[in-house]
Amino acid sequence: MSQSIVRQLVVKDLMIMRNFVMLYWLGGFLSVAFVVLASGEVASTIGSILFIAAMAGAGVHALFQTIVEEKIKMNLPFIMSLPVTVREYTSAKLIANLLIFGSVWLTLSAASFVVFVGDDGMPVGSMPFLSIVLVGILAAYTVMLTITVVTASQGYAIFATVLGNLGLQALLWYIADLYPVRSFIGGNEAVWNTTVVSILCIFIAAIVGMLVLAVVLQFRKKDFI
Amino acid sequence: MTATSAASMAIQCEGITKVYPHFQLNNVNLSVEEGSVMGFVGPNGAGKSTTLRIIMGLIAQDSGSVTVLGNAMPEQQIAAKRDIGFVSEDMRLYDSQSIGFHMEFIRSIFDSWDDNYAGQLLKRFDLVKNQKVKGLSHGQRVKACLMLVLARRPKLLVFDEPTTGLDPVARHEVLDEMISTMEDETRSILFSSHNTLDVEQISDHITFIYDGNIVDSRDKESFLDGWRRLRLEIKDTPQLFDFPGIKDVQQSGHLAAVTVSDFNDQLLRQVESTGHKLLGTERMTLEEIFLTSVQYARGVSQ
Repeated sequence: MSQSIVRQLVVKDLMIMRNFVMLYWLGGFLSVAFVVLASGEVASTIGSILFIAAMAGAGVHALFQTIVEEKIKMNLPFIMSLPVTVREYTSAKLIANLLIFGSVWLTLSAASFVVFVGDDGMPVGSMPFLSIVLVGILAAYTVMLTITVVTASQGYAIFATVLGNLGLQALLWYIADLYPVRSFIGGNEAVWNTTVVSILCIFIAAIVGMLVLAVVLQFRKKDFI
Repeated sequence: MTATSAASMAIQCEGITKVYPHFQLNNVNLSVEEGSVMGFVGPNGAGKSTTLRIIMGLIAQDSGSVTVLGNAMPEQQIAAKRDIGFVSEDMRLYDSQSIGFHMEFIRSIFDSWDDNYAGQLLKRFDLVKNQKVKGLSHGQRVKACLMLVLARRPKLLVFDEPTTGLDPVARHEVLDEMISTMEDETRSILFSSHNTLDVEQISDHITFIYDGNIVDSRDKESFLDGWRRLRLEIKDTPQLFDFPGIKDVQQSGHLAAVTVSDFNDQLLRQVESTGHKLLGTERMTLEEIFLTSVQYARGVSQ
């Protein structure tokens, strides 16, 4: 596999997405600032919704723009006429999208942890659950990424987005209600018990598994256009 | 072209087959000599694009072998595609980006990118480097694709219906540029079209494809010299004609127009020996040859 061509394809996608990524970053930071500056539960909820919307927006927008639209708008024959195989193309799409979403996810995750550490109003006990939420978002994103890369279909991409969002929300509601999680959320100490660590491990395994699945399914394809 | 060694072939397809639920490419043999222009002609849905995509390694054949510039496809497509420039009618650049963005992108991939030549092509095609692709007309988009391909100086150019949908001026510019690229005698072109005028204008060799089958493939002169319409006054009706290479017979009373694909002096003598009176022979245009070939192939397949 040619690393040079993969790099060029990744750079191309990052260049195409750069303005949007900036906007999602800005939106994400504004949501964190909102949580910090505005007080009360309502402000905190609004800030959290904006925060997740910024992350989801970055991920979904990049998937549609760099994969689905590339196929719908017939940019794919242009790309595949270059010295590129399905392997290079798939690798480039996975890397580019993980970089775009990952950069927003990482910076916003870091910002939210900084807020927790620095703000006396936030219970430190909710940090394990915050970690579950953030890693859960990444796991839901990789489900969307894999489905979109493998199908490159608008319909399936929308289905993956709905599945990822609803599935994650349902899962988080369920997790938040688990006694080993719920009982420490409001506390003054972050408790990383077996339940929390197991959930994080399952999410991380799902992330790796989905990425491996994308690679395996794509690399087996004989016809690409 | 079968006598030519494989080493001097830009493209060699042997017995390629591809089966889809509603279409099938059957045992396609196609050879393009280095330094030649092959026109690949067929109606919509004949299998032109499928064949070209197999040649480009974009889809894998079910059976048969494809060698492009000495590389087995699709296995060695990376090496092959470094030296192939591909433009298809349905290919699109990124709407939100400028022509300059695409030039930088291609330059970052190909060491062979020629900035001066790219600049010349921009001028010749009346393209503006900073213009966004979404503001370009269809003709300008095709010319932009052509510029991106030519400026990296590939050894083989594969064009899938490059002139479809172009106005006469843009079509002329595109064809002119295709012809001028052949000044480099080692460069080869394979281009598909259903516009026989374009094919007749620039091709050395022509291949007809219909319903997934190669109907005929030979050099242009052989096509134009071999196909004739014989005007006959026949001695009896109904009349069965038994000449070699008959592709079509139109009969009205004692007059008949017989189209043959292998016209020669011997055939003339054979016609005269049957007692028919030869009123004249007519050369045919490539379009007429193509249409008759397709009608004949359709009749044979039914």
